[in-house]
Amino acid sequence: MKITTVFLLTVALQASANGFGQKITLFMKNAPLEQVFKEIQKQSGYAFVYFNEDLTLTKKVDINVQSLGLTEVLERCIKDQPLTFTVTDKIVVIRKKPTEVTALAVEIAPLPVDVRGRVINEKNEPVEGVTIAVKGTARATATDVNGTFELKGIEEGATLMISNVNIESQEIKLNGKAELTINVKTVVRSLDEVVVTGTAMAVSKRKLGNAVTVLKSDDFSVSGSTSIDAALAGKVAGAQVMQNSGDAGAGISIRLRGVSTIFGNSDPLIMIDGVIINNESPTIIDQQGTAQNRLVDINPNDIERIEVVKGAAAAAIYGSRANNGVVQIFTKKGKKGRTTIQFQTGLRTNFLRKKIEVNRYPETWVEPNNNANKNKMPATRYDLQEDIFKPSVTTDNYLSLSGANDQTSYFLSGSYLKNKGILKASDFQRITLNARFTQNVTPWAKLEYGLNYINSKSNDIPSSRGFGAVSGFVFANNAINPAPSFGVYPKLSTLSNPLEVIDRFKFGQETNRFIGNVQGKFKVTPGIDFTIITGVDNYTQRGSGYIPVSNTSNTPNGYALTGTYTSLQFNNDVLINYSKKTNSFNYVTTAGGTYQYSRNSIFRIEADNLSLLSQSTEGGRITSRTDKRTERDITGYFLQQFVEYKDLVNITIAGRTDASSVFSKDNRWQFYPKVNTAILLSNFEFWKNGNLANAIPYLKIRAAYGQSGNVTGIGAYDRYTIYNPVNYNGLGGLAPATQLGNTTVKPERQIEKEIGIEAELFNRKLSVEVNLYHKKLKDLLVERSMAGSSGFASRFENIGEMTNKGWELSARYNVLNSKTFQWDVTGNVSYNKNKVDNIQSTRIVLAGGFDVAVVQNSYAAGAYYGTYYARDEKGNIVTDNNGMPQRAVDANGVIDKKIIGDPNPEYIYSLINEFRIHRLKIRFQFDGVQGMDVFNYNRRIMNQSNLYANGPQIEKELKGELPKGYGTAQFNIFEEFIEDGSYLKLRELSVSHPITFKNRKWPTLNLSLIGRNLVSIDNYSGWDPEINYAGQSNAVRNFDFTTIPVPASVELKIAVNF
Amino acid sequence: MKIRKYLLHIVLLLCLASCTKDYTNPNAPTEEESVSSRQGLFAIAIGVKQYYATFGFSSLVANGLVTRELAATNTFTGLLELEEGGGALTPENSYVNGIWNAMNKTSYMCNQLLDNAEKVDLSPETRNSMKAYAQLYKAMALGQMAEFFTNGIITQSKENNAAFFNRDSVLKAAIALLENADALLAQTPISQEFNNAVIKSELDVKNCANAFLSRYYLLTAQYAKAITAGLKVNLTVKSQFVYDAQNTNPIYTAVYVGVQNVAPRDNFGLPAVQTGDKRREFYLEPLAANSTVNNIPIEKLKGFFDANKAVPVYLPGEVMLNLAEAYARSSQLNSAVQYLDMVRTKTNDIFGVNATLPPYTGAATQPAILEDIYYNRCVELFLQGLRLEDSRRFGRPAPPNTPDFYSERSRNYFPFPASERLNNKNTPGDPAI
Repeated sequence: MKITTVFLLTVALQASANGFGQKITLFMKNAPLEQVFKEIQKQSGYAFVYFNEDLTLTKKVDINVQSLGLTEVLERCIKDQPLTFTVTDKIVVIRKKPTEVTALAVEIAPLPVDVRGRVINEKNEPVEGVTIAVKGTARATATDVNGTFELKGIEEGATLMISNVNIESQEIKLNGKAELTINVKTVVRSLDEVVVTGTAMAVSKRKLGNAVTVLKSDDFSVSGSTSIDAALAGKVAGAQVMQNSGDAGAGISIRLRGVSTIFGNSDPLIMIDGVIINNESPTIIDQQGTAQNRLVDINPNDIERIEVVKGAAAAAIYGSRANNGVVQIFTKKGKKGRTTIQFQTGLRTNFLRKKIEVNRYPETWVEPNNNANKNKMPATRYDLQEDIFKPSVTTDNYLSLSGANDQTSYFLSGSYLKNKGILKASDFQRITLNARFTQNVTPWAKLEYGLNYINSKSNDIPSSRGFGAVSGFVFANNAINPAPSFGVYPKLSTLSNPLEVIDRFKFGQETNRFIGNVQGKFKVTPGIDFTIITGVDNYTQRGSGYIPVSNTSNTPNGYALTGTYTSLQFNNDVLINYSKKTNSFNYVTTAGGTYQYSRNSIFRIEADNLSLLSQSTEGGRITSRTDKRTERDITGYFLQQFVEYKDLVNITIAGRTDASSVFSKDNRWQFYPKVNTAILLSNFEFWKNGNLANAIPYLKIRAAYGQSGNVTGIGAYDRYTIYNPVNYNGLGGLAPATQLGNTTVKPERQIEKEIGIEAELFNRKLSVEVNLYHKKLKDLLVERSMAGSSGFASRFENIGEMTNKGWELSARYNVLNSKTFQWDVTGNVSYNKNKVDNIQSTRIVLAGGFDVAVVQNSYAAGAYYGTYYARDEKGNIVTDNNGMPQRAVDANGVIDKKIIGDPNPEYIYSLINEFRIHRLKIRFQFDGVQGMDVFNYNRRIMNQSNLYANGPQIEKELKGELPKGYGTAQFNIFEEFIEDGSYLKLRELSVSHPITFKNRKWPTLNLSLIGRNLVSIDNYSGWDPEINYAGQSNAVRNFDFTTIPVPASVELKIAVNF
Repeated sequence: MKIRKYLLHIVLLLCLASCTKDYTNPNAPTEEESVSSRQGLFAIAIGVKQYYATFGFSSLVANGLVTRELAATNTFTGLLELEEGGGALTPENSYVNGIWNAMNKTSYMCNQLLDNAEKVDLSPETRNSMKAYAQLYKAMALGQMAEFFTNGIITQSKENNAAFFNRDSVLKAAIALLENADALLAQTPISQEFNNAVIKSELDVKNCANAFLSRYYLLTAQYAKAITAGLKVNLTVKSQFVYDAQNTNPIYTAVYVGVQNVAPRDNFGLPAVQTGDKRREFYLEPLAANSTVNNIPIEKLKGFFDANKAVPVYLPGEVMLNLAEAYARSSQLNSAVQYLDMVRTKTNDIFGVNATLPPYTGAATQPAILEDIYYNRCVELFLQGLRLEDSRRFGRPAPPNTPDFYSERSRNYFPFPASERLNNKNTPGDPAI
């Protein structure tokens, strides 16, 4: 669009009534050339092609000719004018005379030249993807990653038109120059982005009726994280992105506008290039809190752009899978211009940001269990953190090759990441191969195909429970030397010696994954587009574990497990778009259909009593076996109508209906409507003409309503009352599952209302976006309790309700912008309140939540429930005669419990500052949460006086500052261990500087130094409040129990562009 | 035109694909499928014994903790509440829920067998066998329910509205079931087919029925009947719950696998063990250790509690002690002492539980004899899940409102599970303690 508005090329074509008469008669005085040409055109039937602006400098002419030939007439007209003309095929092309042409050179045709150039922005960075068009011709090219371009054989007097959505367009006259450096000015125009997620058609963000966040590769290229979901932290208003452990391949949870189910999954639907991909966290080996989620397989370097769509109002067209929002990832494609090769290498060191306090007292109790006996004996204390954690090194190498011509584009990349964990001997490595091609088959058909192969492999040191390294530390009696003596590791507690876990136990996983998609885009007739997308995501994850015979774990005779999980997902989507424009209205009708099929299977066996030195289950005694297969599908259709009136107001109405095989016939088909509208106030005449336009050049208000579903809350066959196979004494039997079937269940339904305002102020230097939303989840699937006298323990029913209410504010401000110094600030704040109702159980105790994480009416999902301190009227803790704190009891003297904490954050915020000083770029991102509780289970164990007594509070007991056994008294008062987990982190800090050489043939370099998680400001007594023992669990959140803390890291990254 | 053809193809493909929505679950059959064939019923019958022998046995841990046979060696709230007893035991306690749910589920499965045995093709012998077998297991489940709760359920209801009966009625229902089983087996013994397909000679249904009859008659103070039933038990036949690698001995699992949950207290949790009582060595191995949380002296567990070791359905010693007690309570003291001495002097027990003690030399009074019977029950039937019932029946001291860790029992009865009270309005009030 831009190009055509910058210059006006007038093509006057006429089917002349006068036939092809060549003789022209003219009598005109003081006439503009334009008028003369028109007259000649009328008489001759020849078309005239010229640039209006070329005529602006011309003189008016007096002409009087009778029946003269065309060429002679033209010569007379432009005599003394700075113009030339050519006549071919009944077209007269009028051009400006080459300015430097001397009289002698008149006869010589203008010399074609080869032009090379480089486009850089005010930060002296190359700008990729800038269109360089030769004015008045069809010649064009685009800059590559180095910002360079080349145009061969163009006129030396040509004018180049430089344009791209992110820069101010400009024109440059060559004036014979063959080497150019073009300085362009970047424009901050996040609202001009085009969004496709949730709309099924490309829509300018300016026109959207709902909130969508768009991130570009620049936003996450210096994040210092290995997975794309981790890189999202702090960059999307209303999104809580949490790394659940510090394992080398750690899992990440994303919550868009809060948790939105009890038993399902609240992680958003993830799509890559329009294809739904699998982001499950299968736990083949029970790593206890450090399961990988499969988005870890995607290399962030391959990503061009990410769109985050937050709720039902926006995502309704994804139907039964849209409750948690949609994150759509767009991978890079080849761009026109010469072949681009990019190589990146990173070297990173990861380290434990802080150690926690341990008992350092040089004495121990003679009789720890007897509080009356205060005798002590000397002891040497050890800090096992020094033995299990060590700074680790990560290397990340990436190579890509891309290019395109008019018909074909390609993008090829390969990478190798080796991420060593801070827990000794643990690592994660990833090999990716990615290829993406587009092919224009015919003018009306375009094919795109993408292939992605990933091999992810990890050596996992189990961190938790009976045979973990971190649990071994938390539970260890630190008055015992943990080092092996004559090859035998001493037992430090009932759990494994962590040193032995690191040295001798072997746990690991490997995933082989293939993601492929084919897309066809067809222009059926003008106005009708047809798209078909077929995608496959297939992976096999293998896991194994081995604990050798004779060890300190609870399986002293050895333990082995092996398991395989395979998953296949297939999608087929078709989209038909029909658009029509009238003078005032713009209509787009979209219809679509989808079929999604998935199948998975798990096979897993465990054995103990192994044969010596055998690492497989084969020699051992099989103790557990799992063999399960699941199949399901979803079929859906949607219809959407978009109507826009004069760039002022638009409305979108859509309906989606879909059916999932998970539900019985009667409840299968579900309908989800949505409607949204946007009013671009700043486009109205009264605004434009008033003073308001100066203050607020852009203002939009919007409102959206939508419904969506969630099918993750129920398994493929959960509607049936199932009899599980059992094997007993060699005979196969059947026993009813604990869950009673219910064929009347249906998908959970979310009804979301959202209103928002977007504005640009202060000369468009400040852009602001505010959203208010209300999400109501009804028909929430609750595994409601059953009376035991039914023979069953639970049954799924659509009885629950949940609400998420909140707001989001995000802003971007260009504080300073000069050639040498630029400062941009981006920030966002969001608030969310979650509440559950009508679960028809006193409370639901969530599996894996230590009987503490519950769902209870009027509280947030996953609230903590437990014992609390008995307090007097003044609120002081009641102690007994020995000074021991007491638990609160109810009126009957029964130990009382109540809701004592909430792991859901109230506020999430972030602030990103970007500075550029000359070519040096400094970027730092602070982000944090406020009003979030963490259950510090580690402290509960470590400060228990009688057990292992390695916590810092035991020191006080030994010194006599607290009565002996105080920690034991606290042990069963859970309130004590609920801590405020609010934090503010320096999440990302990066400094980068480009290095360019005079010789253009040399590659350009970019050097970055990136820090991640370097500083955390919090009052939390553990390692890091950002942690979760329950991994990617939906509602069991923020349990700090024997989980590897998230490390800090510093990375040196070099990118080379050829 | 070509494009339109493509389009048509794709739309067709979508429609075709969407037609197959009813996937069969390859992992497990539905209830309807299970109960409607002879193979299904055989499989459920196997499921009953597997379920009872594994999940049903968590009651032994609860019983053991409440009656001081065991000490908790873990920080799990469920265990500590039982050990603490009194008001600390909440209706949410996982063991309270576990026992209630397991017994109701066992009974539910037996109901499925009893309801459907007539509806599928079975030979009359096999049908009788299946019914007798189901009646035995249901009776065992009802007996356990009555041990822990003041009221119980005889017929389960999926509608959350099952009726409650007091424990005496529950026990009488169990007796009726066992009498019925005994009568059925008098008509036709367990069929070869049913034995091969289900029982595999692990237990003798007829003997079990009479052993349990002797127990339940005793609990309902029908001493003469208890004696008749007890005398019908062939004490040389073993009936046991077997275990294997996939179904490990549940007590072994609780004590040894993973994080240790419980350990036996010193002296079976009694003040003292009689000198020379060889059953101590059978069940316990000395250990100079205390439990981790409440600091109670503990030993190492032996007995029937190894990974794959079978656990007796009932011990011959129990039948003898049932007889001794029934005689003693009907004031036939000589017969009482005769059966008591059989236990005290036993050296050839089929399960190896041999006290090898001298005959009873105490006073020939009913209280004194009952006292020694109680002692012998505590030791002979260690961790057989009988001590709570015994402790109440023998009038042992009831727990104070805030019991310490050494009062003989920490509760009389359990509160009803919270999920029951919440969902079934027929749930009676909880016992005070």
